[in-house]
Amino acid sequence: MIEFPLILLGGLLGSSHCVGMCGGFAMIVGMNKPTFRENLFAQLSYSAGRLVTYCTLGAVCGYAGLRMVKAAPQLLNIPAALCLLAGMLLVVEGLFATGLIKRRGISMAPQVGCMMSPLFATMLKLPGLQNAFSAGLLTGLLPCGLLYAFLSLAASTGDLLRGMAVMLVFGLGTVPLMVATGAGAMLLKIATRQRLMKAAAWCVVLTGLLTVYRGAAFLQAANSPTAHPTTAPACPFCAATDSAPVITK
Amino acid sequence: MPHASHPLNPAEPVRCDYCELPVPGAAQEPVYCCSGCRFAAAVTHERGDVGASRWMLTGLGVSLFFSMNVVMLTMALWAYADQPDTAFAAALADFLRWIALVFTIPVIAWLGVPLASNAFELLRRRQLSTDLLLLTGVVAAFGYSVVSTIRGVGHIYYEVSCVILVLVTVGRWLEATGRLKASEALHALESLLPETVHRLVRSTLDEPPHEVLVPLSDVRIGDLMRVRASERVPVDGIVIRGTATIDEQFFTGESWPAAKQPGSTLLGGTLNLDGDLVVEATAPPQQGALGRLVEAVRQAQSAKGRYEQLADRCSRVFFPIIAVIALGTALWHGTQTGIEAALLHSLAVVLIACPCALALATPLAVWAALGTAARRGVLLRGGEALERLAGVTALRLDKTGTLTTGAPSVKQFLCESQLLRCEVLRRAAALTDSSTHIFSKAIRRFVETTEPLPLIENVRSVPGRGVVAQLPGESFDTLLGSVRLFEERALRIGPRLSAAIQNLDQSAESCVLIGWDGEAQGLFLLREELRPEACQLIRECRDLSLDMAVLTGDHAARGARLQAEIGIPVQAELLPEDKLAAIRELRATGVRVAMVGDGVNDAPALALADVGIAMGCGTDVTRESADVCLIRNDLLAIPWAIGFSRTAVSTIRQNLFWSFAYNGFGVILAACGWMHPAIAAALMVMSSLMVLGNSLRLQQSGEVQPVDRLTPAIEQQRTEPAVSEVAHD
Repeated sequence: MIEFPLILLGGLLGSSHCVGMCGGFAMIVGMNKPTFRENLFAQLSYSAGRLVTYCTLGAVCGYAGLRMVKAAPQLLNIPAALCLLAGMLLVVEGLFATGLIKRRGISMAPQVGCMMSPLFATMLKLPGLQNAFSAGLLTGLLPCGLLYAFLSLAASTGDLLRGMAVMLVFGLGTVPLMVATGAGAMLLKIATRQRLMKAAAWCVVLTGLLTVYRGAAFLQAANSPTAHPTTAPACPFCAATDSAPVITK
Repeated sequence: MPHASHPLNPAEPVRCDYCELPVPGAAQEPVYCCSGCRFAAAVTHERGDVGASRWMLTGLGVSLFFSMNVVMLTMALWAYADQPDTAFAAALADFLRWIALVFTIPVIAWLGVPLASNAFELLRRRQLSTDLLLLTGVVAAFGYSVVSTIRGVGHIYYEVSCVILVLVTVGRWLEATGRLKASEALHALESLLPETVHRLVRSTLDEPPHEVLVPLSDVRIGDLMRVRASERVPVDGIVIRGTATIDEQFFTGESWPAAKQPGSTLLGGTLNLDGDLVVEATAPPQQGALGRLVEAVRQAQSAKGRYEQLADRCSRVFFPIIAVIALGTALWHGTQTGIEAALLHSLAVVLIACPCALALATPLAVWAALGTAARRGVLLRGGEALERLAGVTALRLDKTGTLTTGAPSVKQFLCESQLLRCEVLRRAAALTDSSTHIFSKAIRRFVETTEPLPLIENVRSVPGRGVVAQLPGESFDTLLGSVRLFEERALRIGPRLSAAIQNLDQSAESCVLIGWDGEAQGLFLLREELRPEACQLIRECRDLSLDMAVLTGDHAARGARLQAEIGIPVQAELLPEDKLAAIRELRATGVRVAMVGDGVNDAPALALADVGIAMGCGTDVTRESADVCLIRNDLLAIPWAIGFSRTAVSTIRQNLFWSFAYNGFGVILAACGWMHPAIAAALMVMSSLMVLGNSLRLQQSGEVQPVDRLTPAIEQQRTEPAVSEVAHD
């Protein structure tokens, strides 16, 4: 699948968004760790927790995509629709990040988030790697536009493992900067970070555009009977190189 | 009309140890209203066993992790080995089943056990709970899956058990936190009182007293305390030593601070701006003005409104209905498709019907609304008062003490001879200095002299007429009082003053004459002042499309004048019985009417109206029995309270509608077998969160700074200084 490097890049660069949103949590995790080494382990557990949640969500979305492909009548091109949706979400989310369009205030979200905070705060502050890990698990469940965009991308793969792979790659991309933030080593200057943020935003937009393009290609393929996409190979991992959806019989 | 019982009632309802919602029955310690609160208390409270709390958290984290894995494993099973047609697929399926079983066990152990103990505890108290139904479902799903795993055929439902346990735990916990947040406004009020007090202790009589830091709860009546600048006064008391200016805005609405000297009374929770005071406590901490307010709000929160009773009734019949529907679903699907379907669908019914949202819908909104209103200086006596206030379509206002400040002020001062002006004022100050009559006070304020006043002797007050006294070395009396007093004593009233008195009848003002040695020398015109925010009150109430009128016992001429001034109908010359009759008539036509008064002489009218609003309850909210008490004399709190109660009631309606619709539709879908239990569990959490979020929004809409609201009114007053002169012509 052509997007994997881009997804990784989207995650890597998009993690400046994550640092803005969730970087504070990472710092709390690192706050009362006496040594750098301990802190690093705590940060890695925290990120591992996030990765597990991302993978689960990716798997669920991939499976949901598969079920939708199976359940929907032939005339509705589910992979194409999901691709288009995911692409548009990514583009919109990317444009939000670039600051070209402004977000409308959502009144409900912060309050619901606040209700989580006592539990969350307790977990973040407790010593022990397992608590950092649990906090990571919960962080992955926090509402986040970028995450949802990538999740719809995972759904558009129409396969459990591939959906999981999409989210794993995205999640891995977010690890370096989050760990660096939490470990107290913000190596990058603010100006550099801002430039990175811009680049990341456009990277997300680009991923979105490519996804939209892929969706359009699916639509075209479905409409021209001569160029019907071939069936995917059995191994889902190998299928990652194929840009066609899995068509199950 | 039911009113909240006296706040110092010893039979106080039991409150949940975590979220402070009243809990029915049960007196053991600590009490929690639900398993969510129990869990939340165990996790976040510092009290109790730290180890246990960590164990809980670790359990939740581990369960979350394992549940995610179980979900992935079962999905992988469905995706890749649903119908195993090869040996590899069959082996994969077996492997996935066993791993899922292993991963499910910790979740059952960690989260299932607390749920079970809660369910059994309720069972011991002879209460059947949805927890019990849920537990049955979870255990059944797990048991069925274990059998499938061992036999190597059939479906597994590990993910159902795991997801339900995790979501129920997290959902209950979120609800508990939400309820805790709903009482935030009240806690903010309580936090006006400092936690510790500098008590002055004198070990022997000769020694100067020294300070000891003690907790607030240790303060007794008669204790001496030191309150420094920028500290809050901890209890109600009187100043023993020192002077200071005190910010009493919360109680009085006055944006400028009050000066206090030895002998002045202080209210707990007010802010000492600049002085160093020694204060003697006159009330225990919990029974000061603020303590009584907080207590009154607490009381109000346990007084149930119509909507709350509705929700209660529904909750009571809820359990049997849901049990029957679940059983019916199980039987129907069991006979139609088999035991698996019976189990899953009835579990989905129980989950979707879990009445969390319904049980939360009203109390949470009322709780948040009452606390927020109290912070704005409005005490609502319970959910019913809130509901009735929201339904009000007409507003009747008392005049004296409500629309007006209740104290007249001098609008004009005339002298017969300008040469004697200073002498007239000097004598007026001397005669009014010791009097407590409201006219005397107004004149004394008007004269505003700081010069030493001449001593007066032989002071005689003539009831209903005025005051007569002699200045030293004079053989004649100096008189201050009504025209009648001057006529009776046969003092001559000069042409200038007579002309003013002639005009007086038209202008509906009071006049006080001063004179000596057989001649009237000066005249004070007094008028009751409208509160500065009165006009804004009328405007804001008009925006709420309320039908407004003033009911007053004052003369018709003054009524007409007031009507011209504020632009709403004024019914004058009403006796207290007439006021009652006016309200009774209005109510007979089906109008819901709120009566605003100072609660002293119009108490019957307040009680008769659909909603009675008492002004300026300030220091003692227990004194009033009105449905709504305004802590400050701030008229603008009235439109705010009406608007806010409308918002609150519409929030309650939305909550009720949403939870009824959700439960109703959900149960139908689930009973038909169109809903997977895991999705039902997620929806349950979602619906609770919707209700929570919706209710907590009330706290935001209530956040209006009283200072901001007062300032424009003061400015408005300053820009309209010339009213009296214009009106006088």
